[in-house]
Amino acid sequence: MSTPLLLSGAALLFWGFAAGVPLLGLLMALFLEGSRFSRARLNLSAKDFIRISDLCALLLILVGVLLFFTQPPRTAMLMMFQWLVLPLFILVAFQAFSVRGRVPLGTVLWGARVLAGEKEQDWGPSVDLSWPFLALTLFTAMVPDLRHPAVFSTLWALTAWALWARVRHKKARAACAGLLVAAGLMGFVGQKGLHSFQLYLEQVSMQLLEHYWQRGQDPYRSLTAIGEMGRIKLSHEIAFRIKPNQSARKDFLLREASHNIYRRGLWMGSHPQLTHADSMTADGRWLLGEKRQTTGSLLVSQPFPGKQGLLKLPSGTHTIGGLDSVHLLINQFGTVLATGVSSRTIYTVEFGPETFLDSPPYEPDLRVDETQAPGVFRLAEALNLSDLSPEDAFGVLAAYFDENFTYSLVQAEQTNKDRALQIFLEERRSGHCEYFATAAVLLLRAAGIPARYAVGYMAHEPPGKDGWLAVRKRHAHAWALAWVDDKWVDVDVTPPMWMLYEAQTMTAWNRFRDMVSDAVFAGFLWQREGGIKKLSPIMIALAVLLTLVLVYRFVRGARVSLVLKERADKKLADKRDSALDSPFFRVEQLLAQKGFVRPGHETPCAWLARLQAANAPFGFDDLAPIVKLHYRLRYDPKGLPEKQRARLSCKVDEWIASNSKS
Amino acid sequence: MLLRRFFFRIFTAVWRRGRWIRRRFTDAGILILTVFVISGLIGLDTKRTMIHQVFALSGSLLALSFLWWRFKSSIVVLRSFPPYTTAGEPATYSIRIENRSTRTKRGLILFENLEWQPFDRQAFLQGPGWRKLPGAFFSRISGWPRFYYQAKNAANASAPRIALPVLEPGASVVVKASVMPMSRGRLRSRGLWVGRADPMGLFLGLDRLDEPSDCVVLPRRYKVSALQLPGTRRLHRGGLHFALSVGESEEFISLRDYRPGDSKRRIHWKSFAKQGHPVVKEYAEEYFVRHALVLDTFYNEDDFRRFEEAVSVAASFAQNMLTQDSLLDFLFVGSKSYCFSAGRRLGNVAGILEVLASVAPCREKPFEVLTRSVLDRAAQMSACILVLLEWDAPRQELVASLRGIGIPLKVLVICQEDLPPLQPDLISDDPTQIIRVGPGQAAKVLASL
Repeated sequence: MSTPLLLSGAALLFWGFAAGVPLLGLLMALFLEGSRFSRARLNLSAKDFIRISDLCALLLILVGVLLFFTQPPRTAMLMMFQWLVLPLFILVAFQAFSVRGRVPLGTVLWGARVLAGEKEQDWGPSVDLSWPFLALTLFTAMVPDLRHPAVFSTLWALTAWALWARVRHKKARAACAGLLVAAGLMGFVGQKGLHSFQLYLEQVSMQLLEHYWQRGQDPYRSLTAIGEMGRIKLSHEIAFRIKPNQSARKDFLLREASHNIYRRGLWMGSHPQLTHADSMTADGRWLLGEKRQTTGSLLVSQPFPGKQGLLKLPSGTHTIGGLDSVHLLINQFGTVLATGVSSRTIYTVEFGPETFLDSPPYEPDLRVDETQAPGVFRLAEALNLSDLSPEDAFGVLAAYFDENFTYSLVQAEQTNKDRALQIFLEERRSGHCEYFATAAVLLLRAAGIPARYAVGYMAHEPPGKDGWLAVRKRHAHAWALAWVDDKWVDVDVTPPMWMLYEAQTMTAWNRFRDMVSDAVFAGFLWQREGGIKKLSPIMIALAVLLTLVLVYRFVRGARVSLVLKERADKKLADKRDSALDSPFFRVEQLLAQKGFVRPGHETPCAWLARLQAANAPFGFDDLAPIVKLHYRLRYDPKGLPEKQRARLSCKVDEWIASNSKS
Repeated sequence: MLLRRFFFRIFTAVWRRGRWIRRRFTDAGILILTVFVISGLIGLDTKRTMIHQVFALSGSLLALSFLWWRFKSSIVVLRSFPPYTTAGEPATYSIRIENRSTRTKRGLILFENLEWQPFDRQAFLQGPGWRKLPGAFFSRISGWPRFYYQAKNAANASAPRIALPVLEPGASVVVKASVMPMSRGRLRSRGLWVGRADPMGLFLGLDRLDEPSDCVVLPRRYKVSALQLPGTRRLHRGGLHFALSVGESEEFISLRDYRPGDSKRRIHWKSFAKQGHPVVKEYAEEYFVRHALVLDTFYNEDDFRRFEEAVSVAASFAQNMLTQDSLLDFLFVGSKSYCFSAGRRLGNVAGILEVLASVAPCREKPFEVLTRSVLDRAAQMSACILVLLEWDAPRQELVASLRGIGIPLKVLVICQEDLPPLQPDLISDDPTQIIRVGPGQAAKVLASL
């Protein structure tokens, strides 16, 4: 490695701390820096390096596929960057422990191999990967969101170390030090400025949006597809998983948020206020209401890209556990935002018949603007909803929609957003859950029942063997909340065939993705329940043994020889040394003494042939095998075996003895 | 076509920018620049990652290093390339450098300002075989391999950077330099760049010194074993000087009376006037061995390596055969049919090799043009060496025709690895006369002829 001593190790340690795996970083650092002190070297050919780089590429692809299936795209990409160090470390480690110490460019770049052809010399120059790897390590160490001044300082210190080590002239050192300090200061101010600039931009754009929609509205809003044309795309990707405990319920409506103001296809909350929850108990559970009665509980395994997200909660949630080191923000519409959560977390939710999170109804929960939703009052009157009890009204609504409406994800034509709901109710009579939920909310309000619009998911798939139930992105759902008997109850009037309708679009590819996702989730559960710590020492010993056998097979099977560094370095030197004292030089010396000096440009063979042609008085026939052995000693990469060398010496002695008097 | 034009523009722009970057930045600078660009692309969201810190730091380093942009070297250089070099072999030469300033110069870097051939847009857009390009789908759509080969050809040499020793005021120093020509042709340098890196060693301030020089890069040549072509000497009316010219120019011996059948162009009119009867000029007749070396230039692929191999094989023969006491006609087709003769007193090795250094593939004409050119000269050939690029019907026809005339042949087919085994049924009595040369095997094959 051509990087300064300990620099690569320090960078790996930095990466390990940043990635949350300091032990792994330390091990990698020790291994890589150990190559400077170790004498063992692998005699790897270019083809071996191709195999290793292909293996690294394969690992990278596998990691990429796993992340793609288990994480949102953006998080997956960032995590790919962060863990890019691992596969490349394998390649760099092999380079560090190889006799060559460098890697032919074509072995790393597949494209270069394709264009350059089979010959190794066309693959471009051999490169030392240690510097690019150092840059990559520092780069990827900055992927995790660690906001601490020490992070930038470490980045600067390691970069300065790398650049300082390259300064050759003493006179340039003072200027270099000054520039590095200046660059550090500029960088620090620059990164702060970038961050502030982004925040400013976001604020300005948010204000512009709010101004456009309605001044003072909550940024949490639901933009529906009401009035839009085309087919609503459904994703079968698993969004999260739940595990109900001791409950006979098959379906769960898990709410993320609710809104109470409807305007042209957009649902919004009226003056929402996110406040920090401060009701954590001593055992790390969040009490969101009085724990009067518990009818059931759930385990929810949910990814939190960006370390924050809305919790998926059933109606009547009063206790949340497993989120002891996070912040919870709650608003009056039952929205619970968790921040500072690890990327995938399992939390418990206990719920009862009462609702605590949502504020009691107020004026906007009864507001129906006829201009926004024409036709609603007509239908409410036709169904005579205002004369019914709330429970009866729910039943009438559900029956009405089930009998007269169909569920559809396709809208054949674009409609005016103001008239979209009217067209749905009076003409088309077909739509998706947003239509049904919006209509239900407005009809209930028209009947004098306070109602809100809720969005979330409906979990209805059968649970797996482990009791966990997958909730897919296509299970995203909207329904109504109605205020009955001093509590909010879920009112879902979407015809139940929607679940069957959406499930029809599952393909074999989706099932394959499910299998991968299940496997990853099983690994996550295993890791959560103790992981490798659960394995018995015998199992660990077996795994280590198996790894050693695989390495041994690789070394032997690939015909890679393990040589000592000094031996490898000295091998050529020894060969040169041994060739310099070739017995043939005694012949040359003797002939020089007789006046037949070999010119520097003439090979021994040509020289002797010339002397023979000139009838010099020596036994040239006996010299032929001597010259042949001498050539092998000098130029054969394998050298000359000891026996042959002794034979050469013997033959030279004989020749000198018989020709010294000529 | 629109897409191809777009990609050609993108590729040339990127390639030129890359060339500028390689000239202006050190290796460490290129690494920092790469980090800067990547962090700028993926680290824009400062709320999710800390990559914006990498962006800010690398940007600061680069910005500060740009302060060393302006640089005046105040040195004078004197150098010239050797007249001939060989592709793939480094040519060494010396450069004399004089410091004419009053300040000591430290840490200077010197490198050649080599001239690049311009990219051939027409060849990129209209060249055949877009679907046959190697690589994945993107390569075939964008034509990247075709551009890659063009770019490789355009940068026909590389010269390493030379770190100069400390130059005291008024002192001069001579340093050894080398240039590695990658491909044959003419190697031109506009002069030299003198660079000085910033104290952090990222960016080079450059001063251009105009000192144009050029040399001919001869094709690679391999060692050819002593080649025995069984041809006999042939009658060449007019003696040696015949080879110098075309037509009836001959070596004059004497005058004699006209005999029926003599050409009227040989009548010596002055003597005719004096004597009153026709008198004709008589010329010496000579017999000597005249070999033909025929190079197949009909090549339609983007990867020029096979064509270059063929040129190298021809150059190896030319060099070897001209050391013998025979004449050599070198035939090929470029914009028209060419025939260059050399040997004995007519020409030398360098002449033929210079011609070979500038031979280019012929894409416009059919192979029959070469067939006609060879058969026109067949009467005077003692033997013929054919260096072919394919083994298809027109080429087999040429071989059959020459064989029919009775000219001893040696045919080398520079072929791809996946070419089926040759069927030398045309020369059933001596199948060894058709030799297949696979990729990278030319040296081995020529050494074992």
